Amino acid sequence: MSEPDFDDLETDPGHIAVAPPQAPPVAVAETPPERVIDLDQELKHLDPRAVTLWRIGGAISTIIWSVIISLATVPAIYVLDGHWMAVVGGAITLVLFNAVVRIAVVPPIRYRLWRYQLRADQLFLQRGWLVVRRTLVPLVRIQNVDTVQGPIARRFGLWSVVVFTAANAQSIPALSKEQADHLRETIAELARRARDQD
Amino acid sequence: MAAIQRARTTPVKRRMHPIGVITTILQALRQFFFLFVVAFMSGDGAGEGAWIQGVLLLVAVLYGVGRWWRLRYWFEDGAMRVSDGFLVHREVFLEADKVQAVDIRAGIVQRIFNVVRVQVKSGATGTQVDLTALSRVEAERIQRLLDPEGWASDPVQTGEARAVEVPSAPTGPVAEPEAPSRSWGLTGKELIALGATAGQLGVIGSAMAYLFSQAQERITGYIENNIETLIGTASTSAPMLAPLVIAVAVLGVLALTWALSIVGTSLSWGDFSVVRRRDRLVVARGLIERREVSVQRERIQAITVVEELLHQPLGRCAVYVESIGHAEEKGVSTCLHPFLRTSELADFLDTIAPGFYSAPALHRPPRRALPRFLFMPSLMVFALAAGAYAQWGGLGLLVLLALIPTLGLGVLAWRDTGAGVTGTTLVVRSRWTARRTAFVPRSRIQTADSTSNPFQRRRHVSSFKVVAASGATGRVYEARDLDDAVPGQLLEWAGRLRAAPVPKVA
Repeated sequence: MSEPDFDDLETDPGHIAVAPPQAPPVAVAETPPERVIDLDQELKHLDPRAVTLWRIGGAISTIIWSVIISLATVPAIYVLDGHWMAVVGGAITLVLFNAVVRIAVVPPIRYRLWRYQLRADQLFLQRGWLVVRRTLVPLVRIQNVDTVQGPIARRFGLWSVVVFTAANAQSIPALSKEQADHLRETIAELARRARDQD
Repeated sequence: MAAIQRARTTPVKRRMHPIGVITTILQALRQFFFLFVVAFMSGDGAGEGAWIQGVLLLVAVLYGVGRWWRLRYWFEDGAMRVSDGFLVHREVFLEADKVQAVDIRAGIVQRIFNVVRVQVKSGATGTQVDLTALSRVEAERIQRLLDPEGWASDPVQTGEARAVEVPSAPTGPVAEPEAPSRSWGLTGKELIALGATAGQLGVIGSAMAYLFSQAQERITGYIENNIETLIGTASTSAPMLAPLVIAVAVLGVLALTWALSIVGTSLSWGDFSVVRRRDRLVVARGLIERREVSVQRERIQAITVVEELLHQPLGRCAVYVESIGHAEEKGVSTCLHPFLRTSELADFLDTIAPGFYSAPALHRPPRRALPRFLFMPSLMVFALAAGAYAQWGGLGLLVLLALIPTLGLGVLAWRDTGAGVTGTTLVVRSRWTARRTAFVPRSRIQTADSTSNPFQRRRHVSSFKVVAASGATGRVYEARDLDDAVPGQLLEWAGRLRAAPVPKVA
C-alpha cells in the first residue's frame, strides 16, 4: 500500500456503493463475494455536510474555550499586575487562533481526508492530517453496529456508524441517514456471514 | 460417571470438615466487622461497647457452629446438591455438566489447618457453592464427581493425596482422556535469582531509602551524642565517622532490599507450577496464600514474552497470557511463568499453549529510522541536564552521562523492534527498557492500525499496531517506524479471513 493518492478527490464524493447486499445468502456462503482490491477507487467520503457540522462544533468549542479563558484571565490580570494588556491580548489571540483552526481550517481538510471502505471481509478507515491513520477491522470481529446521532447532527440529519469489537469501538462520523442505515445493515449482515463462515 | 451413578443409589449427605466451624465463624466475623467497629465507636470506653462486642462474638460463634451443622452436600442423579442455612433455608441444585469450574484454594486459615476451600462455579452467576473447609481428598472427590474429565488441581500438591485410597469413592480413578502436559516449575535457586533481579527491587529500595533518610538524622545524632560509650574514647572526631555510618547504612539498605525482595518473591512464587490439562492452563503458586488460576485455552487472546533488562543477560524471560474472562469477569493478564529460560520458550509454549509460538523473520525498522529512536530520549536527557545545570551549576552537567545508557537503549530498541507473520500468527516486538514480544493469532486481532506522523513521513516509515481483546479497552501491541510498505502488508494480512500466503517484503 503506497501513500494515499488524493488526486481523484474531487470525483465521486459521498457515493454509496458497498458489497452487493442483495446477493442470495446461500450463494454467498458457497462463493464469498469478490474482495475489492483497488482501494483508491473504492474509498468513500463522508457526507459533504460534515464540513458544516464540524464548523458548528468548532464554533461551540470556541465559545466554551473563550468562557474558560476569560475566567482564567481575571486572576491572571491581578497576578501579573501592570501587564493586563499582554494578558488580554494573549487570551484574545488564543481564542482567535482556536477559532480559525477549528472553524476555518480543520473541517474541510478533515472531510477531504476522511475515507472509509466496506470490503467483503473487512472495514477499512483512513483519516488524519498530521497523523495519518489507517484502521482495519475484520468483519468477523465485529460484535455490534450502532448508528448514533448527536444534538447538532440531528439538525442536519447526519448519523455516525459505530462498530464494536471485543476490544474497542471505531466510529465513522457524519453520514447521511441512508448512507448510515445502509452501512449498518450491510456491516451487520456481512459480519454475521463472516462469523458463520469462520 | 460411574461414581455419580453409585452416588445415586446411596446419597450420603456430608458436612464440611470440622475446621469448617472455624472458617464459618471467621466468615461471620468478617461480615460483622462493620458492626464491631460501630460498637467500638459508640461504646464509652470499656462499657457498653465491649458488651455489644461480646454479644456479636457469641452470635458469630453460634452462627458458625449452626451453619456448619446445617450445611450438607451430596450427589444425586449427576448433580451436586447442597442444603444450607438455618434461618433462611437454601437448597442448591447443580448439574455436573453445567459446572464451569471447581476451584480448590487454600487461604491462610486453611493452610494452618491443612484443609482446602472449594468453590463450585456455574453459569454467569459466579460462585454457587462455597465450601470453606474440606480435606484435600474430599475436595478432589468433588472435583472428580463434577468434572470427570477434568482439570484436577496442581499435581505437585495433590500427589500425596492421590496416593491415599479414597474411601468414599472406591470406583478407582476415573479414566483420564488425556494426561496433563509436562509441568513447569521453579527451583530454589531460580526463586532467589528472580527475587534478586525482580522489578520490585526499585520500589522496595526507594521505600527503604526513604525510611532510612527519615531515620538518618536521629541515628547520626545518637552516634554523635554517645560516641564515647560506643567507641570508648572521646578522641575520635564524630564528623569523620558520619560518612562511614552512611556508607554502612547504604550497604545495609541494599542488603535489606535484596533480602526483602527475595523473601517476598519466595512467598508469592514459592511452590510454583504451571501445567496444561486438556483445554485449561493451571497456574498455582504461593507459599502462605496459595493462588490457583486456571485459564481456558480458547479464551486466550495473546501471549506476551517480557525480557527485563536484568533478565535478558541471564537468558530469562517472563511469559504472560491475555485472556477474556467469563461472561461477567473482566479480561485478565496472567503470568504463566516469571523466570523461564528463554531458550526453552518454544518448548514451553508448545507444551502449555500449543499453536502460539512462531519465529518469523521480523520486518525491522530501516536504518533511516534509527535517529527517531535516539531523538526523543536524548532530548529528555538534555532537558534534564539543563534543569540540573540551572539548579546546581556545572556539576549538574554530569546528568549528560545518562546519554550513554539512553542512546544504548535507543539503539537496542531500534534493533529489537519488529513485526512479522508466519501462517496465522502475528509476532510484534518492541522495547522501551524491557523487550516485549507478543504472539497474536490472526483470529484474535480485533483491529489493526497503521499510523504515520509528519516526522515519520519524512523518513518514509510508519507504525503498525494491533489491538487484542483484554478487559474493557483491549491490549495494544505496536511496532513503530517500520518501512512504509510493511504496515500496509500486515494490515492486508490481518484482514484476510483465512490462511493465505505470507506477505513478502523486499
